[in-house]
Amino acid sequence: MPAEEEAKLFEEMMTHQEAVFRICLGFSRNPSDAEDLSQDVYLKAFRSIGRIHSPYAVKEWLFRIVRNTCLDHAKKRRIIRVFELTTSPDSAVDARTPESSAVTGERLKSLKRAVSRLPKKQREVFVLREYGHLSYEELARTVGAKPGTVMSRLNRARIAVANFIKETGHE
Amino acid sequence: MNKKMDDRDFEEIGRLIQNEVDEALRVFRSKDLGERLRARIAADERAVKAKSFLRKISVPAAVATLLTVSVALFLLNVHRPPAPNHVHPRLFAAVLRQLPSFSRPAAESPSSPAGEVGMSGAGGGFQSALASAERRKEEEERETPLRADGPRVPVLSLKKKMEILYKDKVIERALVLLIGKSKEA
Repeated sequence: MPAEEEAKLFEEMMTHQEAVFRICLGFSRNPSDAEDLSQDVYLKAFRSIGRIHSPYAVKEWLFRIVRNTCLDHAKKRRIIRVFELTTSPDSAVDARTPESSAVTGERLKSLKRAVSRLPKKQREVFVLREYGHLSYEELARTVGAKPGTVMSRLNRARIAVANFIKETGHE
Repeated sequence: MNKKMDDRDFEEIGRLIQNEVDEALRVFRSKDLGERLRARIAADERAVKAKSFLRKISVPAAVATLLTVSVALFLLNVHRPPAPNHVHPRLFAAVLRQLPSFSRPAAESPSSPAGEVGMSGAGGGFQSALASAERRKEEEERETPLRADGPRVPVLSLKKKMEILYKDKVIERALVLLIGKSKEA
């Protein structure tokens, strides 16, 4: 692929950087990790930019990289937490948001915990939709499932999250 | 689990997510992702170059070391001195050739050392010693009566005994010469 075309594709990819960051935030539940993950995503995309055949497929291709990178990261993080028994990343987020009110902080904590408790397939659909604002078609292509399946997973995920927030709010 | 979701719950989730994202995005926007990416790409390229340089060097170095070791081993094997106790068959044959045969008089041997009298040094001395020994034997036989009822032991003639003795001595001398030659070699 010519260097000019590569640069053009990279520019196109960079226009989605906020969406990439939001999805990384949804998966990692930590802004610092989300920044690092966004960098990793763009580095991977830069290295394999020659595989894109059409500039129209950039967004979809990029979000697939985001999803895979974030799932890998979550897997590694789970292994590290099992061995190190470190504190929850939620505490790091709270430390970064001192201006948030106590109630909102508690609700946010509940939301993060609810998302982290979702089954993998529901979690990825929920994060891609709620944080990345992907359409149902884009979601279906990114996770490799039918739109109907994606919608049903998303619905189950939303109910589970809402119930968890409600339950923790009443405690 | 409640299968139905209230609109307020959905709005609540949306609001919480929006709060979280807005706050994180404020920090994210203050940092230039493009600039950081370029720095990381450049660092990665440098690392890849260093790695490839090491790989380029390491293969020829390993091959050269292997070749040097192989050549050294080959040379050591070629120029290895023979084992000290190794006796070459030709040397053994040469020593045997130098020895006099029993049927030939010892004096005729060209390389017989003069100091070893009684074995192969002088043929006359040997003959006279043999004659006197035979005479003594005959006298002893005359003096000693024969036992008629004893077991019959084959009696060797003195000449036969001397032949055996001579052969023993020849073998001993051959071995002495052989050891001397092998030490010289």
